[in-house]
Amino acid sequence: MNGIILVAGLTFRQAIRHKAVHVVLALALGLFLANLVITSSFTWEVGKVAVDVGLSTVSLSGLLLIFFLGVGNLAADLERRSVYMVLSRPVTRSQFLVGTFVGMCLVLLAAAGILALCAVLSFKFSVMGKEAWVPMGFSWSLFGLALAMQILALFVLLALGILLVCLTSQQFTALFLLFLAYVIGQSLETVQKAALARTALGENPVLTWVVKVAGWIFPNFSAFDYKLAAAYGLPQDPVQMAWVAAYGLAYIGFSLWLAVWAFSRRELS
Amino acid sequence: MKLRKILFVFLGLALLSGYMAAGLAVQEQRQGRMHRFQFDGLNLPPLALQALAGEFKGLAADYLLLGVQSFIGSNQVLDRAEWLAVARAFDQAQALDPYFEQTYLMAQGLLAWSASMPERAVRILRKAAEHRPWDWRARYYAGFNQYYFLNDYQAASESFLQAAKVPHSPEILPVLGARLAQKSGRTEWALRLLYAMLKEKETEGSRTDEIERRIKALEGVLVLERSVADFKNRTGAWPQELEDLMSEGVLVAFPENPYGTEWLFNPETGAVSFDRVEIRVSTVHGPGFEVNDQGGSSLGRFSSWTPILDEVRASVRNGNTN
Repeated sequence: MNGIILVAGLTFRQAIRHKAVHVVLALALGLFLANLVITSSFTWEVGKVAVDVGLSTVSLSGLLLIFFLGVGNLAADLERRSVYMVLSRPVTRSQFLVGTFVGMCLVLLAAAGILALCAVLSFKFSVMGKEAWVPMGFSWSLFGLALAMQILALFVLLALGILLVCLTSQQFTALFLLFLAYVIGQSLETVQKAALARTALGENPVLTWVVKVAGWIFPNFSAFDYKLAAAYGLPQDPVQMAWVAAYGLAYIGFSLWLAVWAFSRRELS
Repeated sequence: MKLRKILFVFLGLALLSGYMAAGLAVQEQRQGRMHRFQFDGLNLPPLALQALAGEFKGLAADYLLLGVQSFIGSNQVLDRAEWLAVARAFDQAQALDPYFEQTYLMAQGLLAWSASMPERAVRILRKAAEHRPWDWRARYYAGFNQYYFLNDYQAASESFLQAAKVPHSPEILPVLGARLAQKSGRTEWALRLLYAMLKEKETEGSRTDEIERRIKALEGVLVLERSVADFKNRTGAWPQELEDLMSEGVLVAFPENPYGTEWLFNPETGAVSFDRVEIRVSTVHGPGFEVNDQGGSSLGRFSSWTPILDEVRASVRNGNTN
């Protein structure tokens, strides 16, 4: 446990000194200003647009942090073998991986916290004097839940990224595969529905099998997407949300387990 | 060293002057050109766009609508292809975010009125209505287009009456819906819906005066329509005026018109109305039900409608509003 805390702390400190954090702060300021300009271009349901822009920016910056800071740095460390410096301390390989994951999760949480605050402020400014255009069922608790689900989706992507880094030996390959996994995970549900609904495709057993198997390999990121629900204040089933959270946590757990297994078998010397 | 510095400054000034001269020339050149904003949208099926937009669907919908807004804001005369591109952008924006009010309101303003594509607007409005059960306006606009542009009274009445069922919708909607239902030859159907509406409004504690008045008017219309149908069944022709119903013994007394006017009758089509407001198109629908021989005395004929109305009321009480 101490090893995990040590690595997590190291990862967090290393990350917040990185230039990427400055980029995130610049994004936060950009969001704050952009939200005011974008929402002023709309006549109806201004609040919805403000929530759209706010939550989407949190997502986008989280993705940038995962790709360029989290997974990118880990892959580079492994590629350049600078990971030896950490592993020479009393830290096991599994502790190193889990610690890296926890450290990056803390970075994502901090960034999401700053951005969410900006999103809330920009929402408040955007709808000032236009309270009638805030969707009827809008609530901050649902906004918070949507944000939490979005952060969980980022954690899932991060865990998958760590697994891919452990499975491949090159930074570029790991990042490319992670990008593909993200795109597939985002569109999987739509493609599944479309492919299986069309008789010609639905009757093709090979395609049906491929689509179903892909559904088990790639995380279904659509399930974590509650932006529209938050924007309109659409009522949500808490049981359903709990299952989505369990799905995310299970995916993270299994990905990290696989990553530890792959990393422990990896020849570093 | 000094010379180099001076040369460097001169080079900078020369480049700046060159840039300014060229910039002015380009500005002048482009000012003379006929400028036209283009809007092709994204030529992708909505489903593909949904898959591509991933978690940024809401943002992508906002972007598409902003594109349409800027294009329309250029105040150009749009050709058919451009209107089709605008309509496609609305479809795409709605596929990405089916809840957005801006999409259906813009579609209503632009597609129905400016682009002469009311059916495309109705499609968007109906989809919005499906996703926004709290919003009466999408249903109301759909009904308006169906009535005003498409002359489909039956669909229009259904849309108005659906809108009327939304809590806090204007009191006039059931009345409008019932009027169109009656104009489309479905007086009994209109009555059933009004009875149901009355029951709901009474439960809500809302004002019901106008609905009650309209019910009374439509009950009168129903009685007269059926008497007219009976007259035709007996004589083979429509009556020339409503008084003929009395002379033929089909009716002993006219029901009371709650609007204080005389009942109106079209001897060419057999249509009965309770007021003079006519549907704006020339198509006049007939009574809309089968003419059959019911028999019986004239007094019996009139009083025999009461059980029919009771039956309609009872079916509503039992929850059957179809």
